[in-house]
Amino acid sequence: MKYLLLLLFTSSLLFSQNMMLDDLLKEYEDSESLYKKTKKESAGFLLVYSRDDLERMQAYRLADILKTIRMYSMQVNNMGRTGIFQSGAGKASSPPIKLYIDNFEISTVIQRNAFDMYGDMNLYFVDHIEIYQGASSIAFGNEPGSMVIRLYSKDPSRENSRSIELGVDSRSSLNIRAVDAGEIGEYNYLLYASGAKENFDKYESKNHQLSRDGKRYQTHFKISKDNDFSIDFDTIFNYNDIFSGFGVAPIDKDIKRSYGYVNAIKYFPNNLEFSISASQESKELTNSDALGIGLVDGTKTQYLHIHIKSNTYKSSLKKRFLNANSDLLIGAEFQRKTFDLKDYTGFNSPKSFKNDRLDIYMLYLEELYNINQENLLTLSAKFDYYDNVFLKNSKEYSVKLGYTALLNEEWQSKIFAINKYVYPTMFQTSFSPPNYNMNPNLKSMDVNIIGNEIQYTNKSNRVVFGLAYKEMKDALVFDKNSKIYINSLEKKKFSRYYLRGEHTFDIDNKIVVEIFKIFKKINSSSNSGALIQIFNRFGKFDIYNELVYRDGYTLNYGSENVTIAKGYDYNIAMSYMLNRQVKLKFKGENILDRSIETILNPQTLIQVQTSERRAVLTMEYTF
Amino acid sequence: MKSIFLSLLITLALEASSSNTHQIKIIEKIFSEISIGEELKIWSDSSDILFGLQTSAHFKIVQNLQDANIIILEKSDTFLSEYLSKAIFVLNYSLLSEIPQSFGALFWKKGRPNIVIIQPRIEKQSITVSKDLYPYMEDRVW
Repeated sequence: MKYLLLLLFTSSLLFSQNMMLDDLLKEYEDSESLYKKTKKESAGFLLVYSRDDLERMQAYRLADILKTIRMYSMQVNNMGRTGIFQSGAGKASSPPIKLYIDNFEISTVIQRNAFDMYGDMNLYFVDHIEIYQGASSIAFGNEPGSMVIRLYSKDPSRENSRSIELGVDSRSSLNIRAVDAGEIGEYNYLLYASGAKENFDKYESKNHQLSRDGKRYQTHFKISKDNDFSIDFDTIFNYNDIFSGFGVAPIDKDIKRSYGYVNAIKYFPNNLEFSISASQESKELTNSDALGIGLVDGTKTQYLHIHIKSNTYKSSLKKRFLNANSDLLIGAEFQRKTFDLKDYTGFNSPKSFKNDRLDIYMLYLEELYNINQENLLTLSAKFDYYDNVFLKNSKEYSVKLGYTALLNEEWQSKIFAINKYVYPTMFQTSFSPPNYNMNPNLKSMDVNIIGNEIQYTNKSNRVVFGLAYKEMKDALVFDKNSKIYINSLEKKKFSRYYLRGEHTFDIDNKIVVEIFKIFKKINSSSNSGALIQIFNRFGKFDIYNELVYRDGYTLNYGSENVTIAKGYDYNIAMSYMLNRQVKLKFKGENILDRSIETILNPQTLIQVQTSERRAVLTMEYTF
Repeated sequence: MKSIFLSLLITLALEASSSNTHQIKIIEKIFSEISIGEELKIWSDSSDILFGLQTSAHFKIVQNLQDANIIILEKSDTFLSEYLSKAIFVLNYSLLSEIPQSFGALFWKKGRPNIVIIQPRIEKQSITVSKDLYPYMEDRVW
């Protein structure tokens, strides 16, 4: 017996000592997390999903992250895409959310926003995600947005590996992706490819089946040399059934979307940086409908074929000046956006397509000034000149003032006051889909925001409370009666708050709880929500629990009110490291089958869950 | 005092310093679990590591390669033929393949730091390791 006790004691001692070296490795990994080097606290109210978070969440698609973002909700549109909208906003809104992959902004001309293309992209080559809310993207260049989502690819110098992941789910979907990254001499490279066939629930509408099953392929290649240059290539192709399409009884239908870009950055000494990029996107849809598709002129068509392409070219020059207490960034940028309508069959009424080219000239600066060790002042200003082919040219301005204070070792406060604009998209001003008219006279919306975030941090806890008030003049809204986007005569106002608590039990175990609420006059989607995330690790097992809550709401369709039930999207993810090469993963998505729903269209009132219940089994092999 | 100026260089310097500290703690722990039958005299091509390990009670840091019996090698281009008579621990996985005398490595792979000790190589070089390093032993370089 005493030998047994001795053996047990020795084993436990050995185990604890091994854990000590393992713990040191974990601490080292945590201290070297890439987000600690890329995040920019002064750019806004920040949410970070570290690599460890993403892996433990088994966040395969960008949408898995988007649905957890506070003050935003997901909705499914008639074309089968799951989009992200500000809480309270309706499906017709086009939120100017900016998506970056490394330093390139995925700017779209012919979609609502980048998420129509990249919302379901796989995250296998992504290291971490930073989300900036409540501030303009002045420091990042490009056009201002309401939220900036930055995806950072894996650092080849830390990858040094080739790995492949294969996933199948309970709906017979199939996913495969592979990453090869490493160093060749002084060059770093990352090569990524993925393919997915995804199946979804089918719905019945007027005796016709609605399907949004689809296929998606993406490649990403990056080559760089430290402090010298970086070149990125990315292509993505989405092919999916058109779901309801523009009508309610689709027959033959599909939609093809593609996007590709190349972005090159040259780094010069003295913090000078030059970038140049080109991107092309294409959207082609075929939509036949048994009951006909209602057109904006009041007529109907049985068949629509639309093929549209666009190109965007960007070039920028940035220079940072670092002094004792000052970090000054000055930048200049040029963008040209064009679109080309290849085919528009089925819509016979006269339709005009106005400017097919838009040039934007931008100048911006950002000053971060250390008043002292505890106080940081931020001033950002941006001037943009829009040169339209047909429309009148316009000058736009954005200004942001920020103040960050370390009140003591535990308390921190951030305040931002912003005046910015949101320019209408070419999709609203220039290209007329069959169901609404373009409005070439749209002007930019003027936005004022003031926000404050207070943060308390100690060794194992972090509590964040944020408040913001937003006012929009000339808001871009969709007028259902005239079927056109207009500048609202009414000043739109809303306020919001959020409260986030994080408790870290130890390096392997933590819990995150978050709530938010938006206060606005009319709500066309959930105006409040909550998130609970629990991360646990037991030896080689990782377990993750997640509950995304979105409040119910009522939609008014003339004489009829439709109530959307509260959404409880509960997800669980488990993984087991079998050996150095093989990792097995299981994920249950929307286990309660109660994620928030969307009304597909007012004619049928079909309700579609934004996230479907499914079980996903994945195996990862590292060579 | 914690700095709020995360975007400024001072913070980056602090972050770098912190990561070096973690790396050095791990190296110190590994070498405290290694025996070569005589006092460990360590030299490295990395001045940061030499500096960081100086206060260790487990081994001696030497400034000249000739005085060392163990080398911690960070870069392949600093490799010299004089190293061949010493035990070599590398900080880059590919160096394990390139240098047959190297017996172990602390390196980044798939976004994580890893430790590997190659068993046939430590046996050949009469290096003994304590049980704490057993979980990191491998039969060969993958």
